[in-house]
Amino acid sequence: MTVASEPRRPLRLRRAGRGERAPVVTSASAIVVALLALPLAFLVLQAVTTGWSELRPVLFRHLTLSLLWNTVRLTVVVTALCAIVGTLAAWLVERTDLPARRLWAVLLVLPIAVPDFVVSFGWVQLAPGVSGFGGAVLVMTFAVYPFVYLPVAASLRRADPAEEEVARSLGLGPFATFWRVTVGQVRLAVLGGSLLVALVILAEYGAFEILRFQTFTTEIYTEYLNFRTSTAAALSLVLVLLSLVVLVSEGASRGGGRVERSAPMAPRPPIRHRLGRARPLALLACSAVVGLALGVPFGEIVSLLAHSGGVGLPGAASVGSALLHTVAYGAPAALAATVGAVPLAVLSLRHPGRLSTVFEKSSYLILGLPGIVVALALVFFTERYAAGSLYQSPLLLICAYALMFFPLALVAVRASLAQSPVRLEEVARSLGRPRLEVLARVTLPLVAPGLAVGFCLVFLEAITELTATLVLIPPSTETLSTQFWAFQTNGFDGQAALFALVIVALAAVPGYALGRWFDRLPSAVSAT
Amino acid sequence: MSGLEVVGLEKRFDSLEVLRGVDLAVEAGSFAALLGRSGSGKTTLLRILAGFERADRGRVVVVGTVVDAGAHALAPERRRIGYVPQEGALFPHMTVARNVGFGLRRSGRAGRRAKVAELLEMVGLGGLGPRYPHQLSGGQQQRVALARALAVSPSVILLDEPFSSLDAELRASVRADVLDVLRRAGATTLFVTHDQDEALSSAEQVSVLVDGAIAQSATPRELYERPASPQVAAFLGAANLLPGTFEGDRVHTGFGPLEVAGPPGAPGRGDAVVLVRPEQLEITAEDRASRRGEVVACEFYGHDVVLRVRPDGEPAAAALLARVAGHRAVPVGTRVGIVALGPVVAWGPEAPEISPPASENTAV
Repeated sequence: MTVASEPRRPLRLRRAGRGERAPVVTSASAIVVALLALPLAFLVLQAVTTGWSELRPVLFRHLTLSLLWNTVRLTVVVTALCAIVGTLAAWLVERTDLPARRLWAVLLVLPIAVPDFVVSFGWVQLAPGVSGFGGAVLVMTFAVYPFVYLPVAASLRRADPAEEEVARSLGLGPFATFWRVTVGQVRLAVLGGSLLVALVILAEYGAFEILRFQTFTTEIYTEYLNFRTSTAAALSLVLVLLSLVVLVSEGASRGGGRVERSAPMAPRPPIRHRLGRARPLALLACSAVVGLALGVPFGEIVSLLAHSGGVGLPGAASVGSALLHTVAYGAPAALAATVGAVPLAVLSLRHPGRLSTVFEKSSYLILGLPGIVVALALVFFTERYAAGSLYQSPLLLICAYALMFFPLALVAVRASLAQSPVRLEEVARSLGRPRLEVLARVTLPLVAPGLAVGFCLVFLEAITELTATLVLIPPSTETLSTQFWAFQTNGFDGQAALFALVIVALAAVPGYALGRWFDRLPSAVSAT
Repeated sequence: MSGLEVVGLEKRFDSLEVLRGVDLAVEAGSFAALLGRSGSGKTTLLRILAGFERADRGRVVVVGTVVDAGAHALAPERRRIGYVPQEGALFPHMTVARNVGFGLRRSGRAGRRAKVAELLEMVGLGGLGPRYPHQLSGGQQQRVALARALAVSPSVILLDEPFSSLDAELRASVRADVLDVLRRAGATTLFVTHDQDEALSSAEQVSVLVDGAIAQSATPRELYERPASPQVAAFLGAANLLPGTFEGDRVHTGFGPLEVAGPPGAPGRGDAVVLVRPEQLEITAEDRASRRGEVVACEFYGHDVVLRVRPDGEPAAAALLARVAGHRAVPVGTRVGIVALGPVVAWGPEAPEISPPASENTAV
């Protein structure tokens, strides 16, 4: 008989709710969500102290209306274009016999590593006419479409090829199959990617400043620069409302259907459609995307460097220390964001409920906030509660990065966790191991690819962040992006190009890794 | 003492009532099967026992310890209930040895290694410790999952359709191996299946779950020969359910009077539902039986043949199933005589409602 041989501890029956409670995960998530809410609290506090009578003339002036028009049309158009470009590119790479698809898989992801302000810098150098709304649409579309490409490519690889086969056998042609089955399979991935795109555009500063296109975020920065903090806070609150609209419309368009495949994960290789005579056209389209997104900025940077003397420039002396600081601030921030994303991802997927939904959704809001708002909020609260001792300390800058780009880590960790079977965790617990041990020994190793992807995404964004860095950077230190910005705004384009090149080179490493990991993601996390 | 006892377990998901008062007891150290159609609630029951779901009402007792009392429940890791899911669910990032040793407490590395080796030996996989799960066959994975569950000496082991993902060929041998290991470990085992042959051939006790409640718990033989209701009878294999009339210790059917063998407490008069298994029908030459009919279908299984015979004067839906030896296959359209061999099981009208037609449950 195999009854317990060891003395049994007294057994306490726990009270059962609707689902199982998770006190550790819930409280860790609550702390993360509270930290993420600091900038919002800051904005509300400022608006309240200013009072409605002063805010009203600011909010209802003509400028606000034109900013709203600019921001909304840019967000809508770029998000739609990114959804189209990202989805089609992912389909070409994952579902057709496109030649050299492994190379394209990396090249098409790589633009995520090129900072938006470098892209616009390159375009302005190439064609000074690129500016205003058209320029902003062009630059942003090719700078941020990978946010759609990555999740769509991953879900195309996961989707059950049998669904397409069934559709064909039911008499649907290839195009009808694409519209009614394939698009349905990737709908959630497209929506999730578009959400990120929209929020990133709302918060973008550097690229629009270079292109001389005014949005809420550029105006907010200008207002803060001129110490009109209450005006800036009022505009920021409008921006928060826009982010909320984006979040709610994304949530509303998700609908009730499930997209996860019900079959156990032993994916057959996907069907690859033969491109046939369309092959040159497909190659041309991919080359055009990569050329516009990578070639133009990269080519311009190199030619600028060649014309201006390259590494012999006076700015070159500070490259080493700027690079070091950039990594020293970016890497811990990426680590912190990824670690913080774990409890929230676990809560939202393993303990679904109203609370966890609110937690998860609200944590995306911060991505739509300008960096300077996050930075000033942290300054405000640390001055109040830590006597300013943290102001312009590396810690505060790292915190700002981690908070600003937290949603990217959450998206990656969540996607990976959603694919890791709950059953393995259940089995582990039935073997007598407590929940936190199961998290450490089973769940985390299985979602490791997602953790790595989350780390890379946050790191990529952190090393190119501009406005929060300008506010919070410790005295007499420089990062690559602050150096770039200093040289660029003062007209030293050659030296700006040097720093742009170093940023791109640094970002290419995690960017390349992202392309490769996403290529392998499903097999790495497939289980049972 | 019962190794596992379930009393009045109820569970609903929103408006869907899945378990409606399940009562079940498994003798300590025995091997019991839980048999049910898909959708009968058997997986839900198993998940409640393991602690992954909470019951709305009722009690689960493991060797005298209440682990789920409806409103209050014990976390899965504290129940000492081993769980082997359908596909084994081995941890893909760990070697076989680390999978098996997963639940062992830190009792020294050497001790743990020896225990793991012993368990792998027991399931016949000695030396495969350094492999990864994807390098094993389905049957091997199943046995590793079993060794992993046995490692922590659970009071009860639950197996969820453990053999359904294996090929028919592999199935019988893996099942025999697993049974052997479990018997030697002396574990109290409950395994879930929808395959009545599997349940009848391997378990010491079979409990039939119908619509969220246990319709009958008995030994395989008793269950097959004395089913508690027409429904259970139909579920346990092909069945002819005929109308009849009780007359003392006999029942009158179209075949004349037949001896009633059970279930106990037959009323002795009034209407009856009579169970005649296909192997109780004998097919003879037309002139050698009082009841005659025509063969309308013939299902050939090799070792035997199931004939569908429509008695004269009856509609096609009332065709009877008869099992005869394989070499006695009869072409469709042949006129034959039908003889029923008693004793039979018959229920009075108060027995649970008659299940769907026997044709739905045709089995080999």
